Amino acid sequence: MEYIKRNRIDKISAKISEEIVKDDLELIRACYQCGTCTGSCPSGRRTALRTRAVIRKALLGLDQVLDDPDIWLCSTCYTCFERCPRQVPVTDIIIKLRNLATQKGRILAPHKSLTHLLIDTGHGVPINDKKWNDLRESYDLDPVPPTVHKYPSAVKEVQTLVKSLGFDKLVEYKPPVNTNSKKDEKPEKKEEKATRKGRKSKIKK
Amino acid sequence: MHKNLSHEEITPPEYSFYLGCVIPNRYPFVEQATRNVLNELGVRLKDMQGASCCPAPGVFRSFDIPTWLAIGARNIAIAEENNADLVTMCNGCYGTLIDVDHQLKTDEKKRTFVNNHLVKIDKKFKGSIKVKHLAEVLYMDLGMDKIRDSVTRLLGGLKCAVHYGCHLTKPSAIRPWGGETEDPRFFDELVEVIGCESTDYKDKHMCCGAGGGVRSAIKEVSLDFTRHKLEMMREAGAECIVVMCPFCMLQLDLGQIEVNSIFKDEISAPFAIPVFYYTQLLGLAMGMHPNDLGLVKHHNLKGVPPFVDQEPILSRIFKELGYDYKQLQKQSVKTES
Amino acid sequence: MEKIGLAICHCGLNIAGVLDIKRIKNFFKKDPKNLYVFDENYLCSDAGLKAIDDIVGEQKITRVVIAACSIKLHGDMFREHFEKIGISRDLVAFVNIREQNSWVHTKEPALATQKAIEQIQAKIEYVKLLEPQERVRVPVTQEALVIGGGIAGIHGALAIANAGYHVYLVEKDSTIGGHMPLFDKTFPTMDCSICILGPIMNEVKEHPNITLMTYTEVIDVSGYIGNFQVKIKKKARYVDLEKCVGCFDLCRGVCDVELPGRFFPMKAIDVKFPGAIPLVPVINMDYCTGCGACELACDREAIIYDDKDAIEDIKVGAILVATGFKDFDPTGLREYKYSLNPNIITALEMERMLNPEGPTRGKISVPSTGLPPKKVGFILCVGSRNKNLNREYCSNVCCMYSIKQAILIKERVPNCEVYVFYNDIRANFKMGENFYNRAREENHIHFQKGTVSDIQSINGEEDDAPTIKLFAEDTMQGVRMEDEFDLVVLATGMDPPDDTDKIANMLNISKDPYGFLMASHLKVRPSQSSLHGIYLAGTIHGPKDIPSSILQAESAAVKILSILIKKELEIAAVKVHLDEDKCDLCRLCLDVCDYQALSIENKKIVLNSANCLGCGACAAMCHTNALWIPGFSSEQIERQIDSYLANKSQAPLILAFLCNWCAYPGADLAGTNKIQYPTNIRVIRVNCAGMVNPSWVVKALLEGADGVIVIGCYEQDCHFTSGFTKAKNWHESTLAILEELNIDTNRIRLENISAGEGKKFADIVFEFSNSLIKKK
Repeated sequence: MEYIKRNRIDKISAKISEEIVKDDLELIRACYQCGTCTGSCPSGRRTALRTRAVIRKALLGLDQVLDDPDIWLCSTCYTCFERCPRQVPVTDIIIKLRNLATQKGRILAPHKSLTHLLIDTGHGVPINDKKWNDLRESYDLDPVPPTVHKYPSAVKEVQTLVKSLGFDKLVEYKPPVNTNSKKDEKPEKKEEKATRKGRKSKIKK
Repeated sequence: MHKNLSHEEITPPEYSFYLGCVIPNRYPFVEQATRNVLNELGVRLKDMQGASCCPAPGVFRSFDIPTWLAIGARNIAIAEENNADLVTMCNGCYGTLIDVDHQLKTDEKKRTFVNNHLVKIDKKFKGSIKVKHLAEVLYMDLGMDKIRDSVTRLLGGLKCAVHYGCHLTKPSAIRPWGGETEDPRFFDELVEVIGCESTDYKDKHMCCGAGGGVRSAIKEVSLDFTRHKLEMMREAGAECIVVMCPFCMLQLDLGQIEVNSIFKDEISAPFAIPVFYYTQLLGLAMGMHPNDLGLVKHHNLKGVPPFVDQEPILSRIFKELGYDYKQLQKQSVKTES
Repeated sequence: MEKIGLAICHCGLNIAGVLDIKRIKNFFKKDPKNLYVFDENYLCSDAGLKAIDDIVGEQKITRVVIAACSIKLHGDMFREHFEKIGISRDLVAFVNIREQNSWVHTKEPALATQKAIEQIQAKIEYVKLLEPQERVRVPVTQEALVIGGGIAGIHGALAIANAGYHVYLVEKDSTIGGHMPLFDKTFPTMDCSICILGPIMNEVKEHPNITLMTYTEVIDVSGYIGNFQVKIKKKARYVDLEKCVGCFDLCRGVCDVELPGRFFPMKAIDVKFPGAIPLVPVINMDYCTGCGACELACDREAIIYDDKDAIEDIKVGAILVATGFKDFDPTGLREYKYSLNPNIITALEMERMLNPEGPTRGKISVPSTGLPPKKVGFILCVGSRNKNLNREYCSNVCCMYSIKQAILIKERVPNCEVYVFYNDIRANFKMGENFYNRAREENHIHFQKGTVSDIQSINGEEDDAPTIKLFAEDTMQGVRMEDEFDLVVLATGMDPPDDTDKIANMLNISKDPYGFLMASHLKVRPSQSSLHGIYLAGTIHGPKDIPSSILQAESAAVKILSILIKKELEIAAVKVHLDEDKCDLCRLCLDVCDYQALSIENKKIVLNSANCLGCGACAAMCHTNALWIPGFSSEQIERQIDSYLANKSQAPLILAFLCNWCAYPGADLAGTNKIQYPTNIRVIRVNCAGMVNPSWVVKALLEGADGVIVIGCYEQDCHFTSGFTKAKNWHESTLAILEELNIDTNRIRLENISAGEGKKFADIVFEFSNSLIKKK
């Protein structure tokens, strides 16, 4: 039976392309399937990502395009878009497809934890170990940068935005139970000291 | 005319200094070098207090465009409060912030949408400043003449593999480089003006592989990009890699250790090409001390950048410039202890 | 007693499919004494015209309003018809309810119908004010000018000359023939290019009715149909056309100076190719060192070092423009590395390589090694179908010439593999599909679907190793390709030649958005330019193959002959009229006229009608209405404004003044292409944007127009000399007036579009309309 493969497209529809068009990406309809994008794609050189096929599937409204991991293999380098003779915003379309996939719960696990980091700290790559503070200090910098790390209220702002947009629900974020309040205060005190110490040195000559 | 000139001298160019995540939290020596170099060039930097992740264009934008727009707009709003154009050292942050800025400046509906959320944190996107990459500030705002004039010593023909990275030049319609993406020259010019040689290599404008959330979720794919780039750089005889993006830097620096391990059967020999951020080398050429450019380790921490040893190449350059690498390091450890 | 006939055309469903004709008819039935309304399925058909005849007779109609397609399409036909049945052609008005209504408001039938009613109301008021005009009979110069001596120009000239009329054939190059003699073979017959063309070129040279002028350029054109005055410049050739016998090897043989150009090797004194007509070399003075060797070598004493350009004036009755194309330069497509690798060549360069008279004497070789290629790749659509390059058009011939070249390569280097990277193969020419199939089946050409995305140069170990790597996707399988080739041919498309802007401005004819010249109607007038008496043929009108160029040239020749055959033409002179009694000698009109048509003599204004071109700029300056252009007088325009605003049904309402030459046909083009825009615009056609009197604009705003827009040609394209420049000045004064009246200056606009920019017209309407909505 292994030779029996009843692969076929059962239903084509505009449901995906209409979502895409809504986001000012109507030039998806200009695609004439020449493959310039795939040929240009550095990811396609080593993976199964075929940008042309992604566009095709999106235009045909095939759910498979949201379920396959292919769309997550794009490194968003925009070479396809620059070379596309039809000015199809291929990269932006892939990003939009990822949004639709996320809404379907298809976000990849490591990505999900990344979003939780952002919501917790305001940074995608936060200082999560004292060694990074020490490293900063060793280069004559304030051990805590003047970012969200230094201003707990700023983290709150990011969290307010995230909630206001429903992003926390989208990525199934649950706030840490106890440690939250402590975390907020501790680094700040330490920072202040560090600031004075750091600023003494030769940063400004 | 003359009055205008002197007026410019008393009000130095001023920028909101956007740090992002990777530089302050992983590659702080880039922050040190850039702060000092810009200061030396007469630029005033205003910190962006409470700035967050841009948020990264490949990941967070991929999950939810509205959230990406709103958090990006919050960052730009901080720069607007500073009343100074925003400068970023990172291609990813640049990608997000300039795209957000462009969309919100040109699309009233989006702007209203975003501001309806920002009002909850007492912020507003006004569209009153410009978003710039450090490369643009150096090449266009300060200008090549100014950079050339500030160079006091040349770096002896160091063979550099220049890596532009993607979002610095693409999408070109909302970048300042005149639409050139196949073979832009500005970064090469910046490297050549400090006496280095920009080594031409194949697939020079190919992505490092880190972006788009590929590194964070599917690391071996991102490293296969990196492997290819490193091979092309090595084939062309590059002695070091020069970047203007910390995420590319991370991918090309830490990536070498990772490539050496996971692709060990595919590569002819392990890679060990040191990676520098452009301002580190620019500062050297401007006569600044290696200590101020994050070129000398002041610590004994383990598992921190730079991951590829810079000593061999730095020893050579330092020697030509009259420093002794070992001496500098001893001194620094001493001051530390 | 005057009675107006209102004829409404359904145009099948083109109009009736959107507009409610019944509602329109009922609306105008109210006043049967003065206005008789009727409708027809196709007014322009025999049946439609018959119905018109009957009704005009029965109802004693004296003036007519035709609500149908654009005046630009069938206006002349209808007018002539009415003239025949006893109604002056000047008493007919047209309402454009197709191109500027049903086709652009497809989704708004109710609003579109209301707009149509208001359009008709305005024209009914307008038609009442029309007056029959005197016709002018002008003599016809029964000679023609053909600009460009390529395959199209040659055939056009021969067709006219063979009918017995004299033709000037002006070619800027040193020989006629154009691109075709550079090719080896032609598709799909594979016959030798110069073997077909050579005899025809000779026929041109020997034809008693053709004055051939090579190395000559047209530098100025004035006049109108039947009476063009043309200034030509015969460029210094430095070789005497009379004395030279065309041995050319004597002079060329001693010349030491080789011109740059790998595939077009020439000396400083040379002929372009051995079959050149005339077979007389020219000296390229940019490179000549003046060594005198050729002068010594020439035993005919034909070399004239101090030769000078000569200017000549000629008169012709009609002009055929056949200036050809320019090969697309792929240097700007950086991903294709053209000019960075010698083995990446253009198709035209491949033609030179294939040509036995070319640099390699017909030998196919890899430029860097001189060895025959083992693997050749063709890349199609280079510089065609590309939005990034503003070349969205298909160049029509690249598929076929690539197949031809592929076959020729296979014939000469049988072991060579040939791959054609394509996206769509377009073989829809007579015998085209057979040709394509033959290439696959008999010649084993491999067709590879998927556009090449980029090219890299590579260095192999061996000398004859391939130097080119192509990146593409095999889109059939969805598999990526990275393969190596030793010769790559870029199938470059066609661009308009560099001097097309200059020629279009000189002749006052329209260009399409890509810079080719535009036919006055895409379908039904394929060889007529936007101006009477000037025709188009060949690739200057858009990319096409040889037979299509010839077809168009011969079609244009018939049109030209229909002018030359007449001794006299009757033309509607759109010229300014003067009412001396009203003139208060303010003199403002004198300065504004570019043509010295007005002067003051003995304290009286004097009109020199012969000089007037009818732009109407003087009328716009005339505050006493002593000057006017029939059909566009202040009263006639203002009556339309009054009507539109008295019947205003939509807000914001935009009143638009569109110039007859670019803006109006541009708006029509939006219709032809069915580009939709809002219904809240009412159009008044004017002869030039420069005739729009600021008082009309202010009046419209005061009477309730929410916005007023004046759209003209691009400044340099003005049909007159400086109409748009004047319109800009009037616009400034209007702004000042509005400021004084405390009226928002953003309510008026001045824009320009070309006749080829339907999309831009629609965009402008959208944008202006939105900005007015915001204000509300």
